[in-house]
Amino acid sequence: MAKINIGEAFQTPLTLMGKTPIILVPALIASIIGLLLSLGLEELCYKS
Amino acid sequence: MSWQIFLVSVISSVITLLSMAWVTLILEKELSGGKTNFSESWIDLSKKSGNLIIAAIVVSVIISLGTFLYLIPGIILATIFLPAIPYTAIKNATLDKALGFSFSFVFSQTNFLAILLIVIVEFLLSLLPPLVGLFLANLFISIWLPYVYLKYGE
Repeated sequence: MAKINIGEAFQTPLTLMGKTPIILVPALIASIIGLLLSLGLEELCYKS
Repeated sequence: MSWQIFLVSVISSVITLLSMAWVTLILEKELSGGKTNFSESWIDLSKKSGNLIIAAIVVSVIISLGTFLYLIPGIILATIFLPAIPYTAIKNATLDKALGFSFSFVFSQTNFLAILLIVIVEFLLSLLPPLVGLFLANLFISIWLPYVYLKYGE
């Protein structure tokens, strides 16, 4: 296990996102489901 | 009511962790110079879904409990146990092995501080307005953490 280089670890994924935009898709799906869940929860709180 | 909030928080976290596992598989292909195939990574994810779902549920419950007690324990527990997810995605490891790896990876050298920084940035992004905040926080944690594992943890 190597020591994490913080600067590199923060910068490279940005380049990768530009090169391979499909890595955005799983995060987008998770965000939409998360948003629907929080909207459902809000509705539940409002009703009670 | 609070148990419902807890349940929604756990389910939401499980989904984020599964998306992190999916990104790990895509990134692994990309970093090893192979051609990234979306459907192939989905099939690979489904094959490992047993161990991944168990790991995602356990890690989500641990983090949500920590966050519900007070915020800081949640952030620290997330720092310690989140690397278990990319590890499970690649190695198809059992829960005990994944948690053991995560613990040793985080506490080797100064890795704790680097991963803590990633978790804090994710937390700050999640404070932004709902859709944008949720998307950016999910995006950040599910791309940066798998990258850190693939680059420095293997």
